[in-house]
Amino acid sequence: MRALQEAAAARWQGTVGLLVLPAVVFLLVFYAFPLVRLLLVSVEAPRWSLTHYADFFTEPAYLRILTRTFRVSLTVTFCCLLLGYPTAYVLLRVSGRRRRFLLLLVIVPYLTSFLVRTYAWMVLLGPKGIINSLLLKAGLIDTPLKLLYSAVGVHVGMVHVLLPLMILPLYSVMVGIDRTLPRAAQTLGAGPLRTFLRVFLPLSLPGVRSGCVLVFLVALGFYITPAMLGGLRDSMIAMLIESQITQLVNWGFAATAAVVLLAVTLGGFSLAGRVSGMTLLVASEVAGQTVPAVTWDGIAGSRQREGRPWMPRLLHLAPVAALGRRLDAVMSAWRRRRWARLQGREMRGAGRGRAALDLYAGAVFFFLILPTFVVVPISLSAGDFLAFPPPGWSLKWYASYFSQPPWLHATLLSFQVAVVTMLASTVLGTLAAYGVLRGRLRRRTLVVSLMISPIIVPPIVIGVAIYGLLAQWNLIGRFLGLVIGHAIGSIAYVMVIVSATLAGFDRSLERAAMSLGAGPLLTFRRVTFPLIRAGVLSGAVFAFIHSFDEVIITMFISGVHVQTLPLKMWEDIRNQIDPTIAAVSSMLILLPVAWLVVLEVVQGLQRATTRAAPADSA
Amino acid sequence: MRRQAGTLTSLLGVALLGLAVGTLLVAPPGAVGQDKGKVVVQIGGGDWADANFEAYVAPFEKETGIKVVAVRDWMSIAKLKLMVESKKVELDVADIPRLHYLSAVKANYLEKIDYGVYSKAELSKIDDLSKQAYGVGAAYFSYVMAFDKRPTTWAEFWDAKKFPGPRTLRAGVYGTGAYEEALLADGVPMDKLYPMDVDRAFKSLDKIRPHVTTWWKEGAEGQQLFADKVVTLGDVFNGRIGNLQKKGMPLDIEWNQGKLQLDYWVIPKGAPNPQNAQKFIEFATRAKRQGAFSELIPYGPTNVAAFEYVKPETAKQLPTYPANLKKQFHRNEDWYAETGPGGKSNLELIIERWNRWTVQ
Repeated sequence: MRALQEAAAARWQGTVGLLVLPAVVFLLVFYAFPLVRLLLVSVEAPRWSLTHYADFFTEPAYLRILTRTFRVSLTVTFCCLLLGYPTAYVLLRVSGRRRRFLLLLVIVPYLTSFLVRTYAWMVLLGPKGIINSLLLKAGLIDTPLKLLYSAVGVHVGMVHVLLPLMILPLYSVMVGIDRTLPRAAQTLGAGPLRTFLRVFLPLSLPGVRSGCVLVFLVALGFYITPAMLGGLRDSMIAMLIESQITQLVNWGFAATAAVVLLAVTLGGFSLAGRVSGMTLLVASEVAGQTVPAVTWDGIAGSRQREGRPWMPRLLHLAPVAALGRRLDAVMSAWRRRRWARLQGREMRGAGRGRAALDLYAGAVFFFLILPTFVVVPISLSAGDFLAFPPPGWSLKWYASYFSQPPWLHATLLSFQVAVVTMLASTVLGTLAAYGVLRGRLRRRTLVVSLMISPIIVPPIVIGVAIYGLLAQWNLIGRFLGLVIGHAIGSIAYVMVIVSATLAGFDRSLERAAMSLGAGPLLTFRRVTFPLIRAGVLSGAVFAFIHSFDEVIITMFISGVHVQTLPLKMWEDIRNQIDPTIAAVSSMLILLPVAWLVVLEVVQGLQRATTRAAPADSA
Repeated sequence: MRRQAGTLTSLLGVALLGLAVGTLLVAPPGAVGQDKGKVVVQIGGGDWADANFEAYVAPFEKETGIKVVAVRDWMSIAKLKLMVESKKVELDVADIPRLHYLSAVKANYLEKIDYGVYSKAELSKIDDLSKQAYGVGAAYFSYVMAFDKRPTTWAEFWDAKKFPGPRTLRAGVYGTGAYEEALLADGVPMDKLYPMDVDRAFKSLDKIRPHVTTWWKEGAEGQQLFADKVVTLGDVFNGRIGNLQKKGMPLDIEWNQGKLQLDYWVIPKGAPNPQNAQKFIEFATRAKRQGAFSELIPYGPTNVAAFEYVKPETAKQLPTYPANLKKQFHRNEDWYAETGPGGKSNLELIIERWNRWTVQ
């Protein structure tokens, strides 16, 4: 009898595993297959030639672009860490409403269109921009600093766009650190600095690694920000790919550069290990649900959790560290005695450090949130050109938006594409997440990688890759083509967020329902789904935003007539920087705020439901 | 409580479903049918597009009843190639510079122009360079020096000590760069520019590079840089600056050593509405229409009779006005189209050279 039950359970799990099929088939056809084809184009199959690769690696100009791409990505990653780590630490220490508010300050820019954010930096950094105007007025400089169209602009813009991707995983890991450990260290005589260095920092290293890997990999594929804020020299590899196609129609070479970029990215992805788990953390955090890293690693299939973080191991190799340890031993005996004495007084000194830290984090929050909002006063300008402060106030740029059919068509189209993409990818992604976590699945890691990798594969690579396929199927410039292009990434986000939610809830509830005679479907409908509803909705929001903001893939597959809102913005920014863009941007800032309100309401209901549940059953 | 939340979810679900169904019912914008009553025209960007719309698109619709789908974007040789070779031509009319026209003709990307639809009177007034087998001249325009303080030669423009200030020059991404200007600045006389000494041009660009704030790609961008006072000196299309002057910006241009060039109206091979395209081009090269166009943006008509419809003060602002014409040179697009021993045209070679130069 028992064996029979187990066999049935196994069969059931096998069936549930099949739920990943729709998403997997979709991604194999529209994502994996085009990437393979890209590889074939780059080696000129079936003639098989490596000339494009030879061209790439022997031309100093291209190598320079490649090294520049690396250097910029590394610097940006380092800056993000420098700004992000203390900020995440401060986030950890505040609690309740304040923490929620500060988290919002990280999440809102994350959800704001990056075109808007980059545009805001153009307004801020220009020779006649806000920063230079203020500095000139204050008499600190005589001539405007070269901030825009320079490496400075590229770095500032990229750090701003990527900083949330650093803070969120850091914070997720820090939240999971057992708070009694640092306290224990202190009672054993470690000073605050030592406690931090020897206890907290090592425990937070998985977050550091996650954040750094994510920021670095995403930075490698950047296109819009360096193109808008950089000078001639600030070309990155994505721009090289684009120019090879739009200027020279050199598909072979563009494919080669794309393959190089893809190889570097995927190489980093696998070297860094469980990126999947980490991305999950990011997303789940945004969804307002903390899932300890261990949970996901346990289920994602890769169980080889390292005993110790790698960085301290490296540090231990250093002789300096060894010397330091010996000194430490002497000092700590003395400190142990001192600790007891200082208990009462400790607060004041720490208070000063704390204030400095708070100030630092405050500056970072300011940097995160404020630049985006400068577009609001610009949008209300009465002048014909960008000027700060505006010569007068008016609503004419809003009127300009609402009176121009191209803007309105583009907005409508973007909403339509985003809604359809959202529905399709929410269904596919949720099914896949359920299949991965509840079903029995062979090659689970491979399936998960396939589904989650679009988050880090540079969009320019996806765009170049799917162009050929969609052109063959006559889907360029078609509604369906756009949905397909957008769904690749959207499914990944849904999958990640729903998995996090599924992994986070108590499975015994499902088992209980089943043991009480509920069938699998009934269990899903009455137990599982209500519990993951918030996750599904968050996933849907992400899917929507991904589609609504997408510009690079869209650039390749939109054809001549079809113009989505970001595409229209991108073309206008290059063609005519009139304040209509500022008006559009100001309105777009409201979008993530609106979404967060929706999520908040739904989650509030969810909480109410779960609280009410025990009473119900009683 | 639970039921309430459930109701909410289903309500939300129904709302989303409704939205989606509604979405699917609305025809995706821009799906092109085989409708004979339509012509898809690419009209460029910025003020150029506005002028095209007002002078040609709107009156054409009114006169013929043919619906014009105006696409505000630029055509490049690459886009043309992509479109024609993949047989996904969604455009009927575009305007391209002579620089790209010659390559497009060589590559067989264009439909022949049907001069049979022209009236004799109009046709006789269109200048010869503009009457090509695969394109009809749309307008003359010129790269000129623009500034708030006057240099009169490119050599002076290159002199950052005598004429300090942030500059902008055309980026070489589409093959058009400030190469002729660089040679002029280096002392090459106007009639000895071609065949172009590309090495010398880039060496000269090296000298000005530190003083160039940014290199503009599209015409409106160059205009915007002046409007925002980001730069005080530059090589920009005369018409763009003309329109800034109309808005009261204290800017001036210098015709001396201006680089004159010509755009053609063309029909991509395989265009869905070729007959309407022919009609549109004929309409857009009529003297009266071109006169209206020049009033909107000071570019030179290819139909010389258009001067009759232009105010005298506007005429003086046009690059083809005799006094201005005399000071400028024609860019030699034939040189750009020449193919060297490697099988690549000078145009392609100079784009590659530009790409290498930028990352130096």
